[in-house]
Amino acid sequence: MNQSKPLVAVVDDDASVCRAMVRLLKSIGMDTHTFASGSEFLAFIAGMPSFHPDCVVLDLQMPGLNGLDVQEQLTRDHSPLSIIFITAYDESGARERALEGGAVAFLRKPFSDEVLIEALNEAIQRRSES
Amino acid sequence: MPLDHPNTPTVFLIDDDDSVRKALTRLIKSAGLRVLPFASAREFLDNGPHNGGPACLVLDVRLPGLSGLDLQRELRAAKAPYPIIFITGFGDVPTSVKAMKGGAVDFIPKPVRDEDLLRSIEQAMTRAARETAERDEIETLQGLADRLTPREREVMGLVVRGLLNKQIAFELGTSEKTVKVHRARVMKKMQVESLAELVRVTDKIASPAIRPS
Repeated sequence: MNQSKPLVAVVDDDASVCRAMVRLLKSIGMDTHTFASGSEFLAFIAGMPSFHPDCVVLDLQMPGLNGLDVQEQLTRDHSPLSIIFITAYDESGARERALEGGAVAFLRKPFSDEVLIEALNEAIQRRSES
Repeated sequence: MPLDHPNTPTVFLIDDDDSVRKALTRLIKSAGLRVLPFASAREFLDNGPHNGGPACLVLDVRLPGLSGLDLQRELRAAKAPYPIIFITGFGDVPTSVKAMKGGAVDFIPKPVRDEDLLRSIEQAMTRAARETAERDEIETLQGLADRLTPREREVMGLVVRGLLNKQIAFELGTSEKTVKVHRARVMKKMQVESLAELVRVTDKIASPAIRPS
């Protein structure tokens, strides 16, 4: 009962992105929970004590709390979660902020599956070392 | 506490996967808890009503037939809001977040970590015991209030609003002396000794806490 697949949280207001992520993650043997907004994700983490994702794939641009806001909150909560940012936009300064905040990767769409998988493996590796 | 005592804390486990159900039953029993396993939400509902003691549910979000979320909703509607711990293979936004908004205590991904489940059950049972005690208190207080005459009820309503006896007498078109008599009877019937206690008690009955589970 205790061997575990990596658990990845995906936070993106675009449902088609979430669906594509779920398909990919399943195909490489990872479990996933998706969330449509940063606040829903944070509320879930705070409210559900046994929900321990290994990493989170965070969309940068979202209505309400954006990816960087979520990262800031996770840092304030001393969360050990590894973060991978994904974005369609090239926002100046965002990449630096994200990486300075400790993100594992900052991926600009479109990116290949391989790039994402590499980032995920690194994120999970980092998580298990913390 | 003997297992058939009406107030034995009970864990209701619902999972359609035989091996998961067996493994979790063993785990929960090993922690010294009484556990009743079911293969479906329907089976659980058909075997009710269950004993009145503190209880919590451990159930898979994805069940065939009546889903975990549907059961959560039905139990709330039936005023049997057991705290619920959801376990899941993998989830998505509507399921997980809905369960949380419906008042789930925890959401444990499979494969379930022993310590996560046992800790959550402990938290759920504490909550269940507290909610059971509060529900019992409200029932008792309601019983006391039911013994008030209509006039006493009227006086009580005005007393807890902070009106002086003189003002109450004016409102009700009666004498201050009569109001004092009613007031004393109210205090006695509601088994309180101060205005503050009376207010506390009437607050509980007026808006009994509806705790989602």
